[in-house]
Amino acid sequence: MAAYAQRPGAPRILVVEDDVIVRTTLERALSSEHQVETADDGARGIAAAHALKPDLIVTDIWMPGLSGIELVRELRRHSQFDTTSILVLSGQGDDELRVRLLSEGAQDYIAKPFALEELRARVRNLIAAQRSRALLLDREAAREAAIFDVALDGIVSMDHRGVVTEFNPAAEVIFGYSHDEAVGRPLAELIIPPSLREAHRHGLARYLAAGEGPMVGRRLELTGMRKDGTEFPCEVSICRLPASDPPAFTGFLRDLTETKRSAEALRSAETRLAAAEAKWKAAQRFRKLLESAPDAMIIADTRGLIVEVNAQTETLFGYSRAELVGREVEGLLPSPTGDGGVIGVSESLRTPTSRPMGSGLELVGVRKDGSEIPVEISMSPIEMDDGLVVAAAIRDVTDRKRAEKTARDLIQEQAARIAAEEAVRIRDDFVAIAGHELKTPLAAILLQLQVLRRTMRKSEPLNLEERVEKISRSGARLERLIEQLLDVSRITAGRLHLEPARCDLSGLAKDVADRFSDVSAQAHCEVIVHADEPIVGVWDRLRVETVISNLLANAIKFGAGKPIEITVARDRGQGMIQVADHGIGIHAGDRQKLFQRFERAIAARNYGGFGLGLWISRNIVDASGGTIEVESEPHLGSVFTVRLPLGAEEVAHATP
Amino acid sequence: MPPHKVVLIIDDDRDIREAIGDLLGVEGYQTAEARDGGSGLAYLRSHPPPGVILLDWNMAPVGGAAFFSEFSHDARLAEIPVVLLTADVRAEEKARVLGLSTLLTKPVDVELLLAIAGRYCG
Repeated sequence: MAAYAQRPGAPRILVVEDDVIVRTTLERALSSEHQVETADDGARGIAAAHALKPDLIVTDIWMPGLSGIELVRELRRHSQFDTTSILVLSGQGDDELRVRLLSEGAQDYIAKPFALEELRARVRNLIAAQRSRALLLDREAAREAAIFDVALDGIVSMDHRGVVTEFNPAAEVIFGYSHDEAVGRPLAELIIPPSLREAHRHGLARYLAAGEGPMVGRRLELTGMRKDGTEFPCEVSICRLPASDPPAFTGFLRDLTETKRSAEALRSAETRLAAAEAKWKAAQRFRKLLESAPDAMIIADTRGLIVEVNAQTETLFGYSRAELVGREVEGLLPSPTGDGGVIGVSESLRTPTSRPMGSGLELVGVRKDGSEIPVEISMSPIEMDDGLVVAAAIRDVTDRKRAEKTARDLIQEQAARIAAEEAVRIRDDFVAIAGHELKTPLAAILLQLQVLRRTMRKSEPLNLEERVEKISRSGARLERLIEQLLDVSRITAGRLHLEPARCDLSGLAKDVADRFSDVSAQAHCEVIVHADEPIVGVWDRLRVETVISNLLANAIKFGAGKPIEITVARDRGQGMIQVADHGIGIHAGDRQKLFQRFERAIAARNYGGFGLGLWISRNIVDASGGTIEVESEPHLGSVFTVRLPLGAEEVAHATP
Repeated sequence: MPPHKVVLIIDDDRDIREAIGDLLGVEGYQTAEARDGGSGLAYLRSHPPPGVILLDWNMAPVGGAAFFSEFSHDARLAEIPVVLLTADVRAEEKARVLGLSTLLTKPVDVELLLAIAGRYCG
């Protein structure tokens, strides 16, 4: 067996043929273009193929020992012959065998007897195809090798026994072994931590037995071990090498330490970022909330310093946000001066609880320009990450106050209008009553004058004295009424002038009773005067007379047919006159109205007079520094009591 | 000539009562006076019926309304003519409601007063 001596660089052909004639013929026919070696049976052919690595093997099909078909099958088991083409010399009409040969891995066949030209053509074709395939495979291999060398992933291969066959530079870096240290050693003791070795061996054995296993063809995260014994997280993807039998495996490994660390760092960063974002968002939400509040909102800390405000606060107080933050709340919302239990905002901040302030209280806010605005404040404490703050909602109640005032004014106006209307009504009523009252004595006077005239016309005896007396009486009555009207006018205008002079109350009471004797007799009222001693004081005689007259007239008017008692006495250093009747009495509810103008406890107009007597009397008594009171029991009668101070000078004089 | 019937004057105002009485007296009429509705009813129940009653409305204690209520329910009295004597501005309406045709307002129209007295007591 020579070793391609003739044509170096030419394609190498191995001819395996037991028939020496055919073998020699073939050798000659091919030697012009190729380097040709020969073998004379199958076994030697295989040995020669291993030794020579021919580009093409031309083999006979029928040979003693190893047949051509067995040779093809054996060669194709070895990847090193992947690029070697095989041309089979077959017999005529052996079609089934030829198909079998092709499917076993032969590239072509040629049936005996064949023309040498045809053989040479087929050999040329097969060589060309082989060359191009080899070229391709070489390139692929080169690329693979390059990838293998520069790959960032560690690439570690092992054979079916678990022995390392490949260990790339990246693997050297990852595991700390050199290529030469690693190759040839069992993978398990090299890069697998002791705790996982048994599992590794078990898995490999199972794979070899079953032809498949859970580790192969998947990406896994495992623990690797470095030369120095440290373990690390490692991503592994294992594949079985194509066409390897027994199976060989290649693993692609990636050190996850950094990845894990950076993932951890990333996660931590993300967490911090998320927290920061959440905080920022919360702050944003808080700001939004503040801004969306209808009221001015001030967030202050417990020292009373402003931490945050909303735009409404800027508008309300006229400060910018920048001016407000850090400023004392007290400047904006001063504590109320004086007591009354009103707690100021600043004070409240020190003991923060939820509370409304200023509803009903006159709290004020002070604007930048110094102007004051009425406000209502409600406060609530807020627990923040960095301590307790207080949120104060401040509402400008200027408009509400104005509206309240307007409403109040309106009500007052309405009340005033109603009162005015009532006054007009009362005045109209009074005018009607006054007209009626004035007409009555006037009518009497006119009638008496008619009597006088008709009597004279008839030349009948004229009782002139009676006529004059009656006309005078009605005239006097008219005068009293007019005097009362003038009194009303004077009192109303505040021009009631008293002319005090020394006089005796007992004497006055008796005079009045005398003057009313006719009237009281007409009303069948017995008037009893208890005035045993003179009660001397300084009073306006005529006014006091008016008071007594009014009381007596009322007593007669409302107590007709029953006795009336007038009592004059000294009582607690004052002159006292009491007029008691047994008339219709006055209900308790009416007693207050009694002394008011145009008021008469009984609604009916059955009683004559203006209904002003008690009002005038009260005003006279008031002006004299005295008091007037009434005690009454309906249907039993009334007691009017007037007390008048004696007057300092007279008291001294009168008291021995 | 049969004796003139009496004119009954019911008025709580003494001056008016006396003045009307005096005037009618001068003209030859007999009059009687009552100081309120109660006194008027008492008079009517104890005297022959008067020719006419001059009735004041606003009186105390027994006013014109109370008097008239009593009066119109008493068949023996209801036939006596009543003339309202009042200064009340709503007297006309009141008179119509009460079915009274004649009304004397204050100050008193002397001619009307005498005509009334003439018709019922002449």
